[in-house]
Amino acid sequence: MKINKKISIILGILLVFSLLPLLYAEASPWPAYNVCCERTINGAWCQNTLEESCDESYRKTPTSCEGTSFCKPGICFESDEGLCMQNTPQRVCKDDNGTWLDDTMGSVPQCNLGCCVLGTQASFVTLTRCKKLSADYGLETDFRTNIGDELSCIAIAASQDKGACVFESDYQKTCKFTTRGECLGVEQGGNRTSSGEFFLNYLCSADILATNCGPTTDTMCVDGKEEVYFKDSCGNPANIYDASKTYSSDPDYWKEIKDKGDSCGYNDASGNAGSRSCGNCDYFQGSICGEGNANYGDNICKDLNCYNTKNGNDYKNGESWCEYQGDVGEGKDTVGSRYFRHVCIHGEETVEPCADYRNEVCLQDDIDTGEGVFTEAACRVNRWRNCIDQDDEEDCLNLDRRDCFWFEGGFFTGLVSEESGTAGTASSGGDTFSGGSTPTFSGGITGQAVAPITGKSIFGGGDDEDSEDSSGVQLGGGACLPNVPPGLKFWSDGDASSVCSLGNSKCVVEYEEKLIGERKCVDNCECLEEGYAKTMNRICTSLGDCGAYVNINNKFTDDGAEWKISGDKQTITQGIMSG
Amino acid sequence: MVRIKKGKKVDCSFFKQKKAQLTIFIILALAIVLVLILLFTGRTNLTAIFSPTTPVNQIKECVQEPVEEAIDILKLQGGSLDPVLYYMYEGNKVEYLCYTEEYHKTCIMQKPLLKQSIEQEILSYAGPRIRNCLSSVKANLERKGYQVSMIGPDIDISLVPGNIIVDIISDIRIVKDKTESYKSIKTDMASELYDHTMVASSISNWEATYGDSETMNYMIYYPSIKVEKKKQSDGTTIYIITDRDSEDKFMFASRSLVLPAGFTGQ
Repeated sequence: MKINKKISIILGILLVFSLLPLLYAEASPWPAYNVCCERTINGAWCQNTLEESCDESYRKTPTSCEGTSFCKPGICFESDEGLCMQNTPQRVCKDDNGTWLDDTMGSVPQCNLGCCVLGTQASFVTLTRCKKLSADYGLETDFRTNIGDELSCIAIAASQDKGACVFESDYQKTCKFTTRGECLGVEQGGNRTSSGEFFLNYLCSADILATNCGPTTDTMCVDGKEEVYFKDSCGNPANIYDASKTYSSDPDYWKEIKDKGDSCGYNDASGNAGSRSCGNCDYFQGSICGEGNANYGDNICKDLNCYNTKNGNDYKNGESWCEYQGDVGEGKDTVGSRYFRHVCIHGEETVEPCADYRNEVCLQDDIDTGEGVFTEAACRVNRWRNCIDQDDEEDCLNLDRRDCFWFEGGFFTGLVSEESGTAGTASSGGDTFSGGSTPTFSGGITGQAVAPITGKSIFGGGDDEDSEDSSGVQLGGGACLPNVPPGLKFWSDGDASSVCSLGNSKCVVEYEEKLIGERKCVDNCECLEEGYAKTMNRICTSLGDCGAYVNINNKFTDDGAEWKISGDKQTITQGIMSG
Repeated sequence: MVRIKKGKKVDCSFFKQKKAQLTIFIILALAIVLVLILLFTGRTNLTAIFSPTTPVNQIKECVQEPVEEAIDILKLQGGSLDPVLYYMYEGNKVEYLCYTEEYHKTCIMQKPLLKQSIEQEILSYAGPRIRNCLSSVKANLERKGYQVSMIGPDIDISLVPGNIIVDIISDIRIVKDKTESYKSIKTDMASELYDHTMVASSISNWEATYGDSETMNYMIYYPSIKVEKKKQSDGTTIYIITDRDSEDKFMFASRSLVLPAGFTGQ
């Protein structure tokens, strides 16, 4: 007996396990990728895919690539540049002569980031990369592991002591404007015939230093700086360019470093863009040093803002905004529409499309900076997939979890309407007098943008005379629907029809027979009115590219919806959309 | 032709002088026009015309063209001369640097060592062409009476900030009136390819880790470059990195964290 019980338990477990793949296969919405191919026939390395996609000359295993030795993803460390490349299969890394590290959490010591100080600049990189960059710029490696983030790292570079580094070169007293560390760290060698002496906050053009570097009226842009600087005769930057402070007008201006705040045009609303006399540019106000006509030298603060953009507005450098193609939100996005993000950077407007099929939406917000509004936009995932699972308004409108809206006037019964939702098939109306008539509404794919627009659903009913129950979407109550309906591939044999058929509705209307053949509607009478079709179509178009609706060219098609009363097809006009 | 009135004495030396002056002016004018044409067409620099190319410069000239050709091909193809895994974009086979076939998954790095891979690609294209050119230069110099010995040159190509360095490593010995010996001849070519490669690697790393990248960050940190992101309907993202001054481009593809159309993407 005991043995039998054990066997039955084991059989039970086996049954459950054997059912699991079936359940998974049912639940999994995309092709069941069953093998890890070391290389696919299209040339991709280490893909979980279908067995027939594998290149037969490489290895394959009936498991996920994460579980294999050859395709296990890790970090590929590149020792020349000090780069740590994520999610790299072992095989790919080794083929490229990289060092593969079995780590996905980023805790590899070689990949630890620190602050690499490079003269007056800094970069938040790995130690190897720091050594490489320092060598490229001919500097000593200054890698600080105690700095934990990029902003602090940049701040360190800005706060370094700067001044005049005086030394002898070819037995001539000369000067380089640099940091204390760089000045004192450089040994004699080459043309340099003495070690450097550092004068904090002094400019190389200061008379008191008596070097061969004198003032000029020339200007220059400095790497990593936004302002225009006067240039001394040795090519060092002096103070910020101010046409009223040439050496002949103000010799003091050529002695010590003047703060940006004490320089001309500080806090100018336009960042002195286009000014011929002041080089105090401000990147955040939309200006940066660049070539142009100035009173002295060939550099000015170049205007980086964008004017008269595609929507006719002006934007500041760094601002971004959304472009919508027609109505958006509350299920009103038109068929074929997409979201776009525009960016104003460096005086140029660039356009970034968000993911197609409205899988991403563009969100924008205005920030009041005190000096005007700053607009920022981003493409973000459209979380529409579990909207129709919500039957509670509060859950539906939970913006932390999903992007849905609550529609009053119709609800999902949970009973599948027997009408098929195949695009392009019209169900013939059946007169079901003996219990009443059955209006149906079938939402299909709204078609004809260039191709047909949507999937199809059916409102009403009438074909199935045996069934006398209402099913699918019904009038009354509320339904949770995608705020931005997803785009569907309604032109191919995919899931567009099944998504749209969620909007099918069959409403059984009951009549009471009178004595002399007359009949009186007693139940679901509203299903015979146009309002029923309007409501059903509204739900349908909100589910995706379904129902009778317009496309981005504002062309209306009714292919995606079918409304019948007792089997008789009703006309759906564009006016139905106002419902 | 000179007309002479009867009975009058004519001073021929005067006319001869005038004629000589005119000829000189015409020659000068022609020379100026020639120089201007050369300058405006940008064909060459004047020093190259008036001074003969040295043997070393002739060797260096072998490098420029094949390397530039290689770069022109691979910069629009994700760093590959002959892409295998690619997305067709505006007539270019744009190689994926990071790719996944699956939905909802971040991409698998396909080219982790992009810089090295590009150096290798340039070498594979330019190497044989440079060697052929060197052979021609050697033969040409020998015809001019030089004794040239150049033993099987090794060629090394490296991308560095602002430059591509081509190093012809060989014991080169050129003898005529004097003897010139070289262990290697290095040629620097101005190029933004190193910077573009580093930005492309960084973007791929973001795609592999997070499934997407923010182009504006790159443009704020590096004001000299423009980064464009073009999402395609199949989930592929095309990135175009452009140098704002030289307008040099680098283009590559990525497919990461793709969401299906509808529930299944079918």
